[in-house]
Amino acid sequence: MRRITPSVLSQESQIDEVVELMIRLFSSIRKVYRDEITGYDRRMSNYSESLTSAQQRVVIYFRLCRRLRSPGRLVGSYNEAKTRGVQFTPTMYAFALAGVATYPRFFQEFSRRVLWDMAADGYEPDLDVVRALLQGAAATRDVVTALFRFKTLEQAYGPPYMGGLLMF
Amino acid sequence: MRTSLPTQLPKEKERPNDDGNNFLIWKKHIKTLGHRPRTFIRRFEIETRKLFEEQNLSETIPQATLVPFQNVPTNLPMLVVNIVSLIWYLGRRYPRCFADPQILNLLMSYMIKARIGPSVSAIFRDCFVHIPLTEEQQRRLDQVQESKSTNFQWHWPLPKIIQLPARLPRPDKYTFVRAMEYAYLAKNAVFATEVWIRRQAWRAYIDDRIEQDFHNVLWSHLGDDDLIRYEEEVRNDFADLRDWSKFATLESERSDGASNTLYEGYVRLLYIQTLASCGLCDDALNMIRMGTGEKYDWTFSMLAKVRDYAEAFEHHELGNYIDGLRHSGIHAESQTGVNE
Repeated sequence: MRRITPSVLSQESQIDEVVELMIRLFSSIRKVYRDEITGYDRRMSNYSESLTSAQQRVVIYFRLCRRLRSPGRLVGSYNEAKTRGVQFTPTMYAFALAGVATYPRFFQEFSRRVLWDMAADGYEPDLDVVRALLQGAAATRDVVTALFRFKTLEQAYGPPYMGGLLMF
Repeated sequence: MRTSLPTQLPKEKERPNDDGNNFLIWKKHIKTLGHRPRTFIRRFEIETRKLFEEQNLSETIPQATLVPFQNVPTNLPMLVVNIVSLIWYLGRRYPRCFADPQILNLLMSYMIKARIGPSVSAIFRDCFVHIPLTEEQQRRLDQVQESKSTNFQWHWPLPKIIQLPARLPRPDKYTFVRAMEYAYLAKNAVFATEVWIRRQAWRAYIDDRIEQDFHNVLWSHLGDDDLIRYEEEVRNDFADLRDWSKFATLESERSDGASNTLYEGYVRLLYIQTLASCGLCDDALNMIRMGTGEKYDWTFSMLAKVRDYAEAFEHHELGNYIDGLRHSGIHAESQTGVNE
């Protein structure tokens, strides 16, 4: 099996094919391992949240954009999903932020938008969101915010979680 | 939000990639205040220790449950105090993170970027030296270090109260790459030789693991991807190894495959360049003759810088050897292509 890289995947039609394939794959994984999906494996647990097929497609698209290092495309798809009225969950916001967290040019404006949308939906930033915000603060060299985010994580989660979180 | 540093002299940046907050710029700033060059290191030590005491970090860090910094550093001494103290705090509060070399690699990289030379070699020794050397390696190391003082410690310029966590990580490929890059940057042949010897011991340690698995008939041959898996095993005995394949692929992608061989050729080239730049052309030639350690051979273009050093030091044997590579490798291939 070949890994998906920006060099092998650039056309929009190819991306759609990969999204379709991933949706089928994740659906199979959930069927087979339904009982074994626990909070321990964080990546799998993201998919334990019940998502509609439209929401699932958005999450997979965000993850793919992150993998392809295409923050612009991610921001575009976020806007499109919002325009089409897709209901966002905390997991979806977390993946959206994580996809742009290492791109200073996109991060500041986009994170403001996402936090605003989250607040409008009545969600508090969770561990994954704060972690992405910390990463973004580091990428934009915003020391004050980075310190604040790090302290937030420390206060909320303490040593058992922080050990794993520190290793990006 | 980016904080401007008072020590920064915007029109006199040493290198385009530097932020200005490095030791070279700080020295210029101190010079403008009328201090003499021979006092710079001492002055830096005094300033950092004063800041460390003013913030009362020796008292607060041992009891802290949250990062104990309030202010954003506004000059180089403050930045160094925060970084070294942060390592101390993280080591106390989250010792598990230090099972992996990432954080200490980052500390060493920062000191290289900030041009705080004494700290770099000290961090390399204090944080990453755990793999025992053979007698021959130890003898060679003692020989090269004979005249060099190694008094600095990883937490320099801060006092001894600062400690590393009890369990330290083993080095990884990046530890040696960064250390060797620094040796070349500082034209420090002694440190380069130390890094090379330590790296050889580390490679032997990895090879030992591979051999054990062969002995136990786990594998019939060593595939291209396996070396990186063993490196991951050695680097991180305690951590989760599930992700090694993902990281290995990403690293390989970003380094055009160089990470698959633990940057063997790159580290050798840096070592050879360091030796040659210090006039140790015989040693450089011996290293060249040892080969790249990769699947390709040295070519003239790879060793062009070494050729320049050979010329500067009038070492004809080295110069002639490199000249003899003119028609090998890529050059030979491209010429064949042209002829066809």
